[in-house]
Amino acid sequence: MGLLSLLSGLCRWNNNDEENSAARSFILSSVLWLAFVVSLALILATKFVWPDFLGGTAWLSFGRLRPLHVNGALFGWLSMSSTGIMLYILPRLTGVRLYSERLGNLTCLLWNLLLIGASITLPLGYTQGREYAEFILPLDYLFMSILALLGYNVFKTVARMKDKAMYVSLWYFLGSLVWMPFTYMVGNNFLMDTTGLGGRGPVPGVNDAMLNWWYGHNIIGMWFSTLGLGIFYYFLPVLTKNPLYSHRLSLIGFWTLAFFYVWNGQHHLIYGPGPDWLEDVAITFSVLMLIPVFAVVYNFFKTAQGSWHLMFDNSPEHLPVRFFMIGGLAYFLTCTQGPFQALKAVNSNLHLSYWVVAHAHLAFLATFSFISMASIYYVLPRLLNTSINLRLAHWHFWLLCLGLIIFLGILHTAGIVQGAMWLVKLEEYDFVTGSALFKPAVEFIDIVRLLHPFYFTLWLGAGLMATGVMLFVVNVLLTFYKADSPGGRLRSKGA
Amino acid sequence: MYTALILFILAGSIICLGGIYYKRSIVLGILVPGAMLLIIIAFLSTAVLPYMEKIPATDKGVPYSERALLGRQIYVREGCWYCHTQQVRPIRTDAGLGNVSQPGDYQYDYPHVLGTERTGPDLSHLGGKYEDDWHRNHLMNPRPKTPEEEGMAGKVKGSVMPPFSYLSREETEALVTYLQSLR
Repeated sequence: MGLLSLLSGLCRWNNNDEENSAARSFILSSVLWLAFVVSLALILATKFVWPDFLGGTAWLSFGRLRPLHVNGALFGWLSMSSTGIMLYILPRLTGVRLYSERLGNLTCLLWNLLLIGASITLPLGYTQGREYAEFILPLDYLFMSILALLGYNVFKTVARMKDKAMYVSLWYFLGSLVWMPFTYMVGNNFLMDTTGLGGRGPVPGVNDAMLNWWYGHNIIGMWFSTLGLGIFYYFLPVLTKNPLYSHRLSLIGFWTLAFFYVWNGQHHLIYGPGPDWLEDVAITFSVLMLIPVFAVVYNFFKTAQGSWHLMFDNSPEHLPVRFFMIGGLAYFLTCTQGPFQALKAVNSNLHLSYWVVAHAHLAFLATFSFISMASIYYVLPRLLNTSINLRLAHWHFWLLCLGLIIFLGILHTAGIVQGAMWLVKLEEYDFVTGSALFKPAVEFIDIVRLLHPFYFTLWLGAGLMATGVMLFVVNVLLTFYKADSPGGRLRSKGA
Repeated sequence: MYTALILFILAGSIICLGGIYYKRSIVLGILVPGAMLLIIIAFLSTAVLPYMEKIPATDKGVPYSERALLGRQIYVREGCWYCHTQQVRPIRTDAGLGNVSQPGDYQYDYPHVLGTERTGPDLSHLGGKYEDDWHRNHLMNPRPKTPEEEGMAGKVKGSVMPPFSYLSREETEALVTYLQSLR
């Protein structure tokens, strides 16, 4: 019943001009998609322990659910929640109403259609076969129009601003909306129809790999990071109750990020078949990335100084702080990991191992998802004029953190183990030429067998995290339900 | 090429410093063109410049047969490339996996299947390593299910590969042809 009324509420809001209704629709949708991708994550983790689990069915096989998990988490949960929070923040930073709530709600509806489309096409095996860009062409066009509508709405809002001095969050939001359409277009074969080309595409395979990683890297840097940092910079002073330490520093961070980030794509293919000079350029710029990262991190630590105790405060008012602080710390971790992984010596040991998977989860789950969750906990009571179930939220936090520590610890360790095992070689000397021939000393399958206990522990960690996240979803849905029930604010206004 | 690269980096630095120097006034006029230019400059340097480089032909970079191409499409569709790489790097980690990959090897690979992660072994030089039957058995179910299957060709104990028993006979044959063509 609750769910039905929620869904009808979602449809009702689609044609709604009420203030903040777009932000509300986006947050509700993102949370529903979160529940979906977390269930997928659990299925995938189970498949590592019991590979025959749901096997033998085409649309439930690992290779088809994995892209749905990744794209759902990125474009469903993270993009939608960030957008929703951005739409909440915009009027508060610009001092004017959102240009069109109706347009925002329509964007949200289209976005949900996009993800429903992806949830059908990906399991059926319709894919572009490029990481992070698996959506087929019609969905690409839909997503480009969504971005155009969203950009129009946001830029129109900012153009109405009277005070032309903008807080750094707005810079990041506008930057994201400028960069994202170009990045997405490049990553999706320049929006060309490439099906049925028979192996020979518009560019040779090696350049295709470069373009793919140009995109795969920049979608994180110019969309998820920038949206996330915009939200981060808004809530940093709000939650720590201190003024931002330095605007100049945040600005240096913004422009150096805009400059350095886009050159790094090739560090995903170090020692690969691409040109060496490009790898050197990518590594140089990866190390330079420490500048924007430490601009953010230094600002974070200086602003948060003296407010760390709020993390341990159990009052409802300070509930978001702990999620936010963990997000900030994880940002520090994941963004120092990045340049360090790009170094050739480190990369040759860790690349292609589970370390990469750990790094991705550290960035998307521990950093930006935590920031999104903190923001939702902050925004929802204000949007819906109700309170959040504190007990559920605390369970959410501790289960998620415990699961995360197990999950990330095990994944990083597994990566190091894999890298070390791959290095073990038998040397055969050729006494005629004097050169040495190396052969793997450990059979590949023996490394897989060695990882079985890791897979099992991962599954346990994933189970804990999934439970925590599901509590979050239930909590948010209950909050919406409470607001929508008789006596709640929404119903009483007859909206 | 290097001149262009250095010019691009210089241009980027100027925009970047200009943005920082301009502080927060007249932001929209600076932000939108500045942000757009920075991403385009980086795109030109890291995607267009390498595209202009000549790729020497190699023995591995030859067109696929029709059936192998169909198999390649299935390889892409089933997401084999999520867990199997097709790149051999000139480093100790990859020593003994076969010839180091050259750019020309991928001349006919679109979309590319270089991969990012090795849950399973690298497949660059898989062709000819096993019999066709080994692959058929392995794809049907990679693990021995009954005592009789233990020791059977293609049944690997402890493998975590998903079973592809749902592929039709033609699809399996095409996939095997593709796998055998990787030399």
